Amino acid sequence: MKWYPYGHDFGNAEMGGVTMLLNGPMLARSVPTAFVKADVTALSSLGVDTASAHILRLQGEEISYALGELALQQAIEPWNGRGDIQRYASKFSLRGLLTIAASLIPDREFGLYVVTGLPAETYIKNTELRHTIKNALDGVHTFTLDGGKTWRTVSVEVANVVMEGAGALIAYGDKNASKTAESAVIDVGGRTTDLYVARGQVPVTDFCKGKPLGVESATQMVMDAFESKHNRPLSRLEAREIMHAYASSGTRPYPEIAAYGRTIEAYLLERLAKEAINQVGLEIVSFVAATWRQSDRGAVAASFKPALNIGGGVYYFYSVLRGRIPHLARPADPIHANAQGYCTLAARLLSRKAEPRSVTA
Amino acid sequence: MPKDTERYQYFTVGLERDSWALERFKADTKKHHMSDQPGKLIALRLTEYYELLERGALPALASVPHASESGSKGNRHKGMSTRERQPVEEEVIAVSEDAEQNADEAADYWSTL
Repeated sequence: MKWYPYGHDFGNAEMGGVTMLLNGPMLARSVPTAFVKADVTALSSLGVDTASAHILRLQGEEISYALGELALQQAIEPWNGRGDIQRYASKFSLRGLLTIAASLIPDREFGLYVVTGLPAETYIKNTELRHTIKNALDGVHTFTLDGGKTWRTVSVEVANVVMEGAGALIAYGDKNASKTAESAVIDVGGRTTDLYVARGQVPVTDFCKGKPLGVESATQMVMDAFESKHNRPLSRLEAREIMHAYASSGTRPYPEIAAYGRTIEAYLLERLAKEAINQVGLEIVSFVAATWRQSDRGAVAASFKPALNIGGGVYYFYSVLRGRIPHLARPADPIHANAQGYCTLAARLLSRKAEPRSVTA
Repeated sequence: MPKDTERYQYFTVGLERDSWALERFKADTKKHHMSDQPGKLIALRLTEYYELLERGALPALASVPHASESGSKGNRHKGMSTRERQPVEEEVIAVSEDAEQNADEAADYWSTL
């Protein structure tokens, strides 16, 4: 059985996974963090495409769960674990990990050497959670992704739980930076903005803070404003499509949305999105500026190198953040930045495990 | 037009049917009256691309028309175009060459906690 290094990022809006096949390029995938109980037979009989969707059933369980897009499409309130700090150690986290890993790795049976992350404040305040995560994910898991036609077996071993942000600095940090210099990460996710600063790989806790502000905050503002203006609620799926269209800068069309038989024009949808994103963007900038203020002359993060903006929020808030931090950089793949670093760390730990260092007397 | 292999090096370029890039390229050839010379326009755009890269002004590709101007199949919301936002100056970075070393250092640190 082959063992693969694996970076697991169980975000509250997107869950992502990154692995490496035989020292080849990294493979990455992320799906929305949304779970709903699924009756595969009933869905298929209704013409829902279940073959290409993510539907997982663990051996010994009777219930299948749809993950990601299908869960968003089929449920009004799919499970996403927001606000529940124990979600990182939940069966949902395991289901997400297995589903994404199995979609990246073709083997019927394989092992995963996993590194995952926790928000810095949670990591510091809740030390027990690291062990709880390991207990929840470790083990040999058998499951099906095709309604029981085939079964896959994955052995999971959690190698380490680190602080979110540390992953991005492993993948994108500069080794040549001076030992006194700090590297920084602004991780804007679906629900939260997490700040992380490290000297080398050692976190500087005073600068590591989080705040419940993210893309979903803007999405909720769009939903509220739409209902107030057009007198009908916007579904989360519709709101998500509007936000994605805005982030695409014209390459993805706005969804066709009607209220009482009248189609709402795209420029009106864009205006709603723009206003919400600007508002939340200013709040995020204010939070970063307050946490990383370095002088009374307005210097923010001036000494940090690199200063990285990661997470799905990059597509919405990077420009406003860069207005305040001119040297702010973003990775080519901001969504998987942490998981890439986790995977690189997992690979290093896996090679150490395979070749234990010689012990000298 | 016969090939001038002395002067030019020829390449075969495939653009996926119904792709976003192909739709935009078709609109581009039409706008500039070059529908009969797509190869020439590809050479022109490629030259412009490298010039922009050299000047560090890559996002300023504003003269290329949107596919929706000629009725893109991909746009489900026709006739409802939105105003194009100003391109954002970005500093995009690739995975660090030091990632392995960083991982080694991180392995030493995080394994102790």
